Order: sequence, then C-alpha cells, then structure tokens
Amino acid sequence: MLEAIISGLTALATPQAMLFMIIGVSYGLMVGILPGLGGIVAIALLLPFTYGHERAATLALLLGAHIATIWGGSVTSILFKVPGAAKSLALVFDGHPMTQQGHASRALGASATAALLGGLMGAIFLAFSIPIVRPVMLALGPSEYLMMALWGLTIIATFSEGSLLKGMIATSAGIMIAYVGMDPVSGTPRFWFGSIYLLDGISFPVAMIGLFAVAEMIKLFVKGNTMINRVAGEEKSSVFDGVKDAFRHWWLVVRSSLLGLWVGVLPGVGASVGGIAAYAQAAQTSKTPERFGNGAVEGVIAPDATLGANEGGGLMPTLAFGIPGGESMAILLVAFLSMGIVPGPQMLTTELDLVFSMVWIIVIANIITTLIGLAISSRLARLPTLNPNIMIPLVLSVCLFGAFATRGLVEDVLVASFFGGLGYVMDKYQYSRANFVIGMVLAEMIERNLHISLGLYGDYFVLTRPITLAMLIFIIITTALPFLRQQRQALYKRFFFNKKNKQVKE
Amino acid sequence: MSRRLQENIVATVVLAVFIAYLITTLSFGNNARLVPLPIAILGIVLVLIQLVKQNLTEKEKLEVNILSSLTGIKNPSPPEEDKQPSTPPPHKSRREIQAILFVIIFVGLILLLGPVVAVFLFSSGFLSFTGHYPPIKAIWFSALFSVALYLLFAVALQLQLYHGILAPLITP
Repeated sequence: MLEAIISGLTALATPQAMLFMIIGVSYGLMVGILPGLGGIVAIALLLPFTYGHERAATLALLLGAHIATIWGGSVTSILFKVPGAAKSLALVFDGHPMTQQGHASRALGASATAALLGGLMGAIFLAFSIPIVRPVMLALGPSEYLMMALWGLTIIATFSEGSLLKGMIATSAGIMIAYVGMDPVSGTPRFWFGSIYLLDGISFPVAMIGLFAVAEMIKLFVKGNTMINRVAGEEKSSVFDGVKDAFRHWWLVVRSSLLGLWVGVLPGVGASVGGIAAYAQAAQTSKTPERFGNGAVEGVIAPDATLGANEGGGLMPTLAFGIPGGESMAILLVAFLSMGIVPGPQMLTTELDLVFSMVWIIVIANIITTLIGLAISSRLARLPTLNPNIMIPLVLSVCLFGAFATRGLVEDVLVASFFGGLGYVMDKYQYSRANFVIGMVLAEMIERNLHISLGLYGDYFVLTRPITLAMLIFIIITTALPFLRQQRQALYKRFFFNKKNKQVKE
Repeated sequence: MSRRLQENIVATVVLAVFIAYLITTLSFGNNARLVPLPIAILGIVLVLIQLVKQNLTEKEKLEVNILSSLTGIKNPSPPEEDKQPSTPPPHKSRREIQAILFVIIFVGLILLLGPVVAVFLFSSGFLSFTGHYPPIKAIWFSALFSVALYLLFAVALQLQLYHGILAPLITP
C-alpha cells in the first residue's frame, strides 16, 4: 500500500498533471463564483477534454475543478446571498449577514479555511477506508453488486428533493436511455430505429452537457437578465481573522467534517443536505444559538467543513461500488467511465495507485483553492456586481462545441440540445435530473450483474444467496419506509384534526 | 394554461414514451429484454400513479423533505435569486420560446456552417439582440471568442472540425 501511496503522488509530479491541476482549480473557482452554474455544469463542460491525456492529469483537472467549485459556490452565498449551487444554501444564513456587517473578508477566510480542513479530513478518510473496505468488496459477488445497485437506485429516488414518484420516474427514464444501442450481453441492437449513430448508444458526457449545462443556460435566459448588485461597504475585519476563527472552532470543524463524510458515503444523500445538516448541528450545539442567522462565524465554518469533507466520503462508494453519492459524483463517474476507469474491486487492487492519486489530488487541490481563495478574498469582498447576461452565448457555445468535440460527431450536437430541452422541462416540473443521471449510470451495472448472477447461480439466486436475500429485504424496507411514514403522518393528521374539529364544535 | 394541465401534459408524454418503449422491448429476445421490460412496466405504473395523484390531491403528498426531517428547519430563508426579480420576466412562456428558438438557431447554424462560424454568428447576434454590447463591439468580442475556441479545440486538442452542410457549395 505504501508503494501505491508513493506512485499515486509521483503520477501527479508531471508538468502536465501540475498544469491541469492549476487550470482545473482556477476554472473551478471561476465557474463556482458565477451564480447559476456550479460544480455540475463545470464538470459537464470539462467532459470533452478528458480524452487523450495522462489519466492522473485528467483526474487532476476534473477533481481540481470540482473541489474549487465548492468554495466558489460559497463565495456567492456569502457576498450576494445567491448560492452558487444548492449545496451552498446554508452559507447564506450567516455568511451574508457577516457581509452586511462589513465582515465579508473574515467570512471568506473562515469559509476557505474550513473547506480546506474538511477537505483534508475527507482525503484522510478515503485513504484510511481503503484497507477496511477492500476485504468486504472482494467477498461480494455479482448478485450482491446487483443488490447494491438496486439499493442505490431506490435510496436515491427516496431521498430525491421534491416528489418521490417523480424521482422514481426520472430514474426509470434514465435507465431506459442507457439501453439505447447494442446490448453488450446478447449483441441485440436495441432502440436504434435504423440509425447507425444510435447503435453506439447515447454518449453519457454529451447527455450530461445537455441535461445540465444547456438546460441551465435556457433557465438563465428564461429567468431574465437578473443583475446582482450590492453596495460594497467598508471592511471591518481581515481574511486572517477568518482563518483564526476556523482554527479556534476546531472541534466544530471536526464534527462537521465527520458529518460530511457520513453524508458523502450514503448514496443519494447529496451535499445540499449535508450543508443544511451541518448548519443545524452547529446551531443546536452552540452555547449562543441566538447569534445564528445574524452573522455567526460558526454558521459559515460548519457548512464549509462539511462540504469539503463530503468529497472524500462521496468518492468511496463511487469508486468502490460504482454507486455515486450524489449528482456531482454521478457526473464524475461518467467522466471516470469515459476515461476507462471502471469502479469495482480492481480500484482497490490493481488500480490502487490511481485511487491514491485521487487522494493526493483532493489534498493538493484543496490547498491550492484555499491559497488562491485567501489571496483573492479581499478583492472579492469589494466585488460590487455580477452580470450573467454574457454567460449565455459563451457557455452555450462551449457546450455545443464541446458536445461535438466529445466524439467528433455532429449528431452529438443535436443530442446535447435535445437533452438541454429535456433537462429544462425536467427541472421546471421537478423530475429530478440527478436521479435521471444516476439511473443512466447504474443501468449497465444492473444488467451486467443480473446476467452474470443468473448464469452463475441460476434463476433463484436471490433465494439461494443469503446475503443477497438479506440485501433485498433491506431494499424493500428502505423503499417502503417513506411511504409508510407518509401514511402514518396522514393518519395522525386526520386523527388530530378530527379531534380538534370536535372540540371546536363542542 | 394551468400548472395542473401542464403537469398532465408532461406526464402523458412520459407515459406515451414508456408505452412506446414497452412495445419496442417486446420485439427483443429474452436476454435483451430482461431488464428493459420490467423498467418499462415500472415506468408506466409510476406515471399512472403520478397522474392519478396529481389530479386527485390538492398538494403533492409524497414529498419527503429530507432537509426538515434532518434539521428541523422548516423554512430556510429563500436565496436572493428566488425573491429578487428586479425586473420580473413579463412573459415567461415567450422567453421560453425565445430560448428554445435560440438553441434551435444555434444548432441549425452548426449543421449548416460548422461550429466555428456558428459560434461567431450566434454570439454576435445574441449579444446584439440582448443589447449587452453595441453591434460593433459584439462582433469584435464574438470574433475573439470564436478564435479562442478554434485555438482550443482545433489547434490544442487537434479536433477534426466539421465544416457544415454548405461547405461543399462554397469550396470547389
């Protein structure tokens, strides 16, 4: 393992990897700071550039950008009260009041430092969890992997924000799209309608560009040219006050990071939940909870530490089981697959050095992001306006050019624009796009493992494999639980209101 | 058009897609339809339940609010972008049609003229249309941007560019 740790680091010591890391972090910060974009769009736009380079360098580009967008998203929450992404929502509650009180630099400093400390804890977790998870993974067979993929799908649908049914419909639709093209098991062409182009299947990166990046641009245009303006007042504190705050509240950082790891490991529970949960635990455990919502620096530190640690936690199930922790991990998984990195036991055996490269990337990218963040925080604090109007033609051009660049096929431009329209409709009517993507990603895993299980263990493999059976029962319980809880709440409400109505009548 | 009607139209289209998927799946061999068939059936069942639910209930009852169940925070303060429409879009549906048209025009330009020329024409047209830049500045800006994209994709990434359907008519 020590050898893998060292070779993981040396793979990043090439000029290309270092350059890609710096490009990735700078790009991620820029995209993160632009409201309305965020990490998913950032990664979707990078997908066309993932071919033909060193693997470690490409990972440095992708993960570097992904990590930097997290802090970038925090910046707009703190300065403009506009979360760069849903996961940065919790930073609005105290970050923006700090800005209004003239402590924007301090908030940004605390935010960057907390994100760094959380990110480092995430990387350490990822490194230490490998020897623990490896024997478990090697003991599992295809039928257990099938159950894990099914569990991933159901839990993701269950936790999807908004309607549970719509989430499940979106997941089914995602699986459906993934089966366009040649069936890898039977060699049957499926849903190709006589088109050679469709025989190759829908390119996942192209679909991602459409679903997220193109759809976001349509959304931005429909919303109108909203100008974000603020009057930049005089600063009453410095960036280093924020850095000191993060170290002074070290126990809060540790607790929030652990929460971020836990949220990251759970499939489907996205970082947006983690940020809010971290904020809530910070408020609940504080000796002065009344300061929360009025500019308490702990309200900035807790969500950022959680978001930083979330990445290390989220990468573990993504790499080990191919089950993404959330939508950003799903897109990273698409990128990994397009680079030929197949999640599974081999990631912790033959490809271990690559996993350690990722651990190192998380560490280095977090450090670079924080250094750049601290350096530019005082300037950002005086940033008066952001105009997203110009973003539409620029980002849309990169999207469609990028879609074409993915495979050099002009049909991909049509597919990206189709998915752009689809993504807009899904977002408008609350059919979760994240579920759709996760369905797409897990579809192949489900089909492959089902065929292998049937071939190896026979038609009744679920009954003959006790662990598989136990996992199936667990899936049924976890899927049914929210429905049962809803029914119980409905019954309780009916009983309660009936009782109240009776009392009123009396 | 009411929100409920819009929701019904969307759900009906999704239902039609799942039914078409199911019918197509039936023509495959056993192995090839092993997973797609149950997914199609599941999809149809889910959409039917959704249609019934959204027409019989006042409000969506199947929402699982993980945020409030985890934190107890019921109404976190809405972000600025939700409550700060400085100039609220007057006709949302008109802007939606405009947005879709922009994408269609852009894709059409790419098909006809190739991506580099399409980017130049689209971005200069868009920036002029929205009044973000005066026409001359928009043209300069778009030209620079198109050159940057050309350098990135064609020179740095050595991508074989597509020159559009009209290319054979222009080049001898």
